[in-house]
Amino acid sequence: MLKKLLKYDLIYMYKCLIIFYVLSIVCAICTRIFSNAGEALIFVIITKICNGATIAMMINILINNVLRMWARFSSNLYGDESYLTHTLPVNKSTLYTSKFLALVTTILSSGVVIIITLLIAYVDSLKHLKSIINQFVFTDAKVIDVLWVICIMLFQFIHIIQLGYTGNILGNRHLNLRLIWSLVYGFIGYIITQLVILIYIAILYMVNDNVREVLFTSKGMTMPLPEVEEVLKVLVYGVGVIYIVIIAVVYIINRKLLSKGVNVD
Amino acid sequence: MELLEFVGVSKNYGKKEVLKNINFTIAPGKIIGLLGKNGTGKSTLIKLINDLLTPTSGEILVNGKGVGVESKKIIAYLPERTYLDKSMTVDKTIEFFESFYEDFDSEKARKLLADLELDTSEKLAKMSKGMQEKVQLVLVMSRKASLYILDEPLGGVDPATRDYILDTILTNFNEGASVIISTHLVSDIERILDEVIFIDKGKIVLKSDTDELRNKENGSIDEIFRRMFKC
Repeated sequence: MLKKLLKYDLIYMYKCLIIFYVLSIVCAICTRIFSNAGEALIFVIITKICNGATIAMMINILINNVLRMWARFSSNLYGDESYLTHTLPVNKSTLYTSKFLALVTTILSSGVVIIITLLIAYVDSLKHLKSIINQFVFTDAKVIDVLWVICIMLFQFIHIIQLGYTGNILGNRHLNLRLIWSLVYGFIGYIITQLVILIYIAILYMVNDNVREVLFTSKGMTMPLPEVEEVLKVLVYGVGVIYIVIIAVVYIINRKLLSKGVNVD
Repeated sequence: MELLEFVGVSKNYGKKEVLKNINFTIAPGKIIGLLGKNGTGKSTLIKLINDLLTPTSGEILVNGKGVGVESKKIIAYLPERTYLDKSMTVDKTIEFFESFYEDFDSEKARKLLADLELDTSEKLAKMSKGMQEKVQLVLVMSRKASLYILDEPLGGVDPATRDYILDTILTNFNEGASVIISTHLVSDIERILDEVIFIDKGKIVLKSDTDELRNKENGSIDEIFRRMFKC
């Protein structure tokens, strides 16, 4: 049953996302073509326009992904369609797992499309790519470091969408003002999870001298770059792991909350 | 074993008690009218059977087991609102029902839809609300379920459509199955009912065999209903 549910959830999502994926890559190709077309003013103008369109498409992919996942969750589990969803011979926890897997799949595919778009539009060669990475991540960045940073960004999106689900489940337990309650619970959930990350940093502060010096004193400015980067790596990898744990915990909580039953309007 | 059993079921919305200590059973092979005025708890009771609401207290048993995956396999439910994904075509919707309900007879559904002269490649969103409701009715009645639950199937439709709906229900429900029809339009359905359950202010006020009730009260079910629920 999970496969069947997932199939319909993915169809719903990709029906719209595919359009933005194609547009994003087309805009990236145009950006690339016109940026190499010459130095005439008209090409510069067209490149700028294509550049703006490419960035807009990438943002659109992410915004659409987030909003459509929330809309699907809400209409499917608490709107008119819920009268069908909850009467399917499927456990409520399976319903949630399907939504979660659809969320992870679409966020990952959106991430891949955005990376492809960026590579097409802005990267001239592998050497250029490495220099960009070194500029934005670490000076001695390995592929795994770069992938991890990208993963953290995707984890954040998964995390935010999932907290939207938590808000929806809890908010719909109220008799009135369900949307507002959903937003409140989602926001509270976000604050709590961000506090967990702050606690991690606080623990690092207590146990790791370098972290203390880099983040909380001015010594960080004069420390050798490799040492600073080492601290950043500890932070980045730790935060990534925390996000995975938080996503897993919220997943389990949401499944349990939904399994306790719903009260559809 | 009873097909459906309510054991001391109550449902509260906040402090408001919508259903109060409901106890009744339904045997297989009966057509039951769940009758009551608007807002007396009919839909709440039906939603509880379909796992759309969680009871505040008590237990609902379907074939001796609690509401869950097994009960949903044998209950075909027609809600009072259109619940299909309107972005889907009728063909895709049939495919959807086929993949989730083992007892769904797609050939029967296609035949019934053909009788409506409906283009199954058309999206539901492009159809009128009335047509969407007919598609929904066809899909529900194309299941070989043990219990059909139809919530206000006659609400807001013209007399000709009412006849079509009643005819579709009567000629298509699975042999040996029970049908619960919730409505306040008593006169339209009383001829087909084996039993009636009267519900008022969240309580079952009467449960009886229709013939027995007619003889006892010396009137039609519609008259008895009007007498009992006189404002």
